[in-house]
Amino acid sequence: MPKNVRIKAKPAEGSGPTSGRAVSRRAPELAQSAIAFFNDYGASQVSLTKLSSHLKMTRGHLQYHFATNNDLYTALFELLDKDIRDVVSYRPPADSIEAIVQHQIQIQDCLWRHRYFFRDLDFLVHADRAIFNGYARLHEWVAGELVALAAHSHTALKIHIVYPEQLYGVAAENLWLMWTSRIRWEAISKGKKEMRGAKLDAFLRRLVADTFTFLAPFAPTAVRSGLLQSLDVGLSNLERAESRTKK
Amino acid sequence: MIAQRRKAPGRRKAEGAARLPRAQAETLSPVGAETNTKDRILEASLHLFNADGVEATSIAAISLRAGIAPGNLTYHFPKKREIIIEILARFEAAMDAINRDLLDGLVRGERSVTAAETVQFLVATMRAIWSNRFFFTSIPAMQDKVILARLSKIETRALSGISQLMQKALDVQVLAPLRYPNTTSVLAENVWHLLWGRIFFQRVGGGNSATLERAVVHKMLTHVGALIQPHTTPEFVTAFCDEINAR
Repeated sequence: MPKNVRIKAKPAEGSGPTSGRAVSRRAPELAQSAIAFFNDYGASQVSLTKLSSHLKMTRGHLQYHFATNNDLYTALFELLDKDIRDVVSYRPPADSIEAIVQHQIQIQDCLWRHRYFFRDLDFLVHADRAIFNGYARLHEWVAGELVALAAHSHTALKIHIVYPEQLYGVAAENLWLMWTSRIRWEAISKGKKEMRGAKLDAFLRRLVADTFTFLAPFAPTAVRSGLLQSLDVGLSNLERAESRTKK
Repeated sequence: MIAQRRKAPGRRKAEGAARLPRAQAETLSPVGAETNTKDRILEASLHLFNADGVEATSIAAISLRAGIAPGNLTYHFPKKREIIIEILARFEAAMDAINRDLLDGLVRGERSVTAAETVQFLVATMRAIWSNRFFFTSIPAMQDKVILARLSKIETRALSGISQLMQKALDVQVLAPLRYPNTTSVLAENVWHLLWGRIFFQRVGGGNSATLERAVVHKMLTHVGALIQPHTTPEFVTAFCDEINAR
């Protein structure tokens, strides 16, 4: 055997959508630094050559970790999958509205960090069908988890749900579709501008407020105003939405 | 193939009222010989964009499907981008037509909003989005300012239609007075995100039949129903469910 041929580590059993493909140890770390690059350029514009110069390494070196573009997409999807599962399965203290709002902001933050994925999903799925299967599984998992999260937050939110029980899943799926669709829309219209600090925070709060309207009819007045206070969005936000519609 | 198509009108005249069967006519000219060249190009492009995506569709493929010479095509549309802009202008007009035909009489009239009309409006909007689905999947990757401005305009059309319907429903008390932070515009935005979020998911998941499948329409109506249910009267909800089941 030639000296410079390295044997890649065996993948863990059933890891992600492409189990069976070799994954190097540094791959997740590299994928992490590639996310911003994908957000800026769009998945269809990223090549291993461009990415390698961005990461200040040779193309060959990068190819040791990701043999093809599809390996890179898969590694990125696995990161997204893990991040979303981590943040959504977290349970904030059940009696604090502030904690619940913070948690919602973290979820939006996580989606926004991976915005290229929702924007370029069509391209990614064309490249590798397995990504869609993974995404569909994630979609289902999130819907189930959101029902559990709503039940958990019941003490603080005192939400009185009027749906028949079989519609809980539908409502949770609605919420997920609204989140991702809004993220996609925002990423299309202003994805290239990197937001930081207070601006990013205000933007994420607006996203939470927009989707929160979905829960509002179920919550008592005091809870609603408490939620809006911690979101710190007043009428100005709604006026903006009104003017957007009237245009 | 071109010679065959030219023969078609003469043959039809000779046969008088007995027209060619539809399928046969379609094999003679893929998009209909009577329409003018510009329409034929646009129809062929729309079909191919929807089927394969914008990136994968070449000018040559479009001219082949439209049954004209590539030179003729570039005479009408020098660039693919111009075809897209023209298709989008028509999409916008289609959204306007839906608002005009299905909403104007309803919104201005004295009578109440019925579930049947609401469902009809929603289905018409969904079908319009579906027949231009390439727009929601391929366009984001293009990052073209003019085209994105069109996307924004179409969104505005859809939002204004849904908002008008909701305002009317509010006026005739089919919709209960909305409690802050819900307003007609925010609720309309959520419905819109639900519609195109669902269509995007369907399309990316591989669904690509020419007409929207019945099951998808059914599912989408259920989801919209779940979204508006807490705001509407029980009678409307029952009628809405019956309407969904009748479809």
